[in-house]
Amino acid sequence: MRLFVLISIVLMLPTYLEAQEAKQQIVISFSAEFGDHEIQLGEPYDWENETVSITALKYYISNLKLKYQGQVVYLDNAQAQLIDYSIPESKQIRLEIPEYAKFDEVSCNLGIDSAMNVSGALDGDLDPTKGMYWTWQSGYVNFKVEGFSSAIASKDGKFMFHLGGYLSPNLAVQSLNFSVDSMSEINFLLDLDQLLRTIDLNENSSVMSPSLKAVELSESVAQSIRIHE
Amino acid sequence: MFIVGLVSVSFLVPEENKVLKFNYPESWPKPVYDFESNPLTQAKIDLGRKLFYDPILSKDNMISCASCHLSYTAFTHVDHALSHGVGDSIGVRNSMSLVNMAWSKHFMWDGAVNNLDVQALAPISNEDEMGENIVSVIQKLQDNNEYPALFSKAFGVTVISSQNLLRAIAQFELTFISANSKYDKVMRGEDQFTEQEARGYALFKDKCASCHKEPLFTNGEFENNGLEIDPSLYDLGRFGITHRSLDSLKFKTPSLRNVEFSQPYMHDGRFTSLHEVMNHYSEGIHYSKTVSKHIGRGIALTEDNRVDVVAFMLTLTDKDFLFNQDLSFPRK
Repeated sequence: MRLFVLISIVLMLPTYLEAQEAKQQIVISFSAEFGDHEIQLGEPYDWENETVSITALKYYISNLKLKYQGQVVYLDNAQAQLIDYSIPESKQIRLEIPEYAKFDEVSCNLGIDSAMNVSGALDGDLDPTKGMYWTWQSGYVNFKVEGFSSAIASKDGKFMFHLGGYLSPNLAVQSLNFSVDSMSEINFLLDLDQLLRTIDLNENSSVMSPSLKAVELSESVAQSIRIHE
Repeated sequence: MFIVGLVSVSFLVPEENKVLKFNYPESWPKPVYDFESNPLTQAKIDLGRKLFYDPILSKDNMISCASCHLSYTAFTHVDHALSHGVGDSIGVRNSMSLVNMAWSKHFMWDGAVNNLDVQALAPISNEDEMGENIVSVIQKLQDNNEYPALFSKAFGVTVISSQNLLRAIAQFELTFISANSKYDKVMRGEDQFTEQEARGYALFKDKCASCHKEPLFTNGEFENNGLEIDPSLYDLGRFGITHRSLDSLKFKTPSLRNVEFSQPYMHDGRFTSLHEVMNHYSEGIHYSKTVSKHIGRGIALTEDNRVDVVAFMLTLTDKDFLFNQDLSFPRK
């Protein structure tokens, strides 16, 4: 009987210790601004002598890591999270890391890497019913923004950018890396003002398939994201 | 006790949910399909079969996968150059024959699809094919009297997901194995070619097998086989996916298994007989920069050679496959 109790304690010890290990919560949030305004879908904004509204804004964040002095201290196991501005709760990722773990860098992919793009029918946020999978050809839309601009003369002023592509040379996934200082809240800010300045909407109001243009725009999107201090 | 536990659990698994081994001829290459991510079971194959033959997947509930992929004609649409879809719409390509799918790395004539699991999304969503969308298909299946129970039997959940829907269809398609033609029997030493077939086989190995590689009779690659572009379709093939000029006018090399039954031929169904196909390769090559190096400006074949090669190609007919009752419309 004593032996049984002893064995039970030894077996239970790791679970007990794990339960006792204190954790710190890290909240990573995603926002998008026009000028100094957090955008509201469908709201018109005066911008550069035109009126612009955003009707859809969605993108994938995958391979999220926290690093300290170049070493990975936390790797998010979730395959990807779809940040969808029409679903407030999707705009946040909550992590739990050991209490005293330090980090000085956050990195992730904007979009889905090539390996996951050839992995067949996936579920969760990568379910094709989420509207971020091309059907006529395989592959995820990494980043989708749709809206209206008074600067666009044709097509009811509508613009649509569905950016993706997993095959070279049209590989569109972008790597994001930012220095951070062990903050418990990290906010990724997409500056739409900056992004739209890189696109002449009247010349180019839609990109809907993998192409070099989609890669170029994906780079512009990545450059328009910064950590909001 | 642990061993007893395992045995009794295995005993409790219904026959239809036991993982099946994927059987294929020993001399064949290994399949490329990832069976670990989608292990075969009879319940999943049966569900995939029902879905494959069910027009519920289309917008007007009129078109099923089998509308363009009939089992008796090597899973293609015989006599139709371009595939038909909802509302009598006509597509832009000839439906492909579906055979030995587990060995395929790319799907569709231009390789637009990279994994068998997601292939069905393309025809379901194409306006000229099934004209539906996956969200609506799932809703229709969920509201159906039979499907929630069938998904539960196969996957253990009555809530239907796109992943389970697509994986079930893929499982049924993985069973399309053709490996018992006269050619296969000859290779196994169970039969003999006629003199003409043997001459055709020798010519085939010399002139055709670089692209139509044995034993699958495709190299799985994209080739420009010298077809003059049809100006009404202006189909650039693989270029439409990769946008690389070196891929212009290239299409996936189709398997020649059961080619006797899969007419018309080519991505646009322009040839109705194998003799026309042979004449094209001998005399009709429209040369351009991306034409396959195996074809060049044409493959030298005399009239007699062409007849012999066709005689060989007819040995690729596999009646056990074409008339396999496990692959045909599921009757209750």
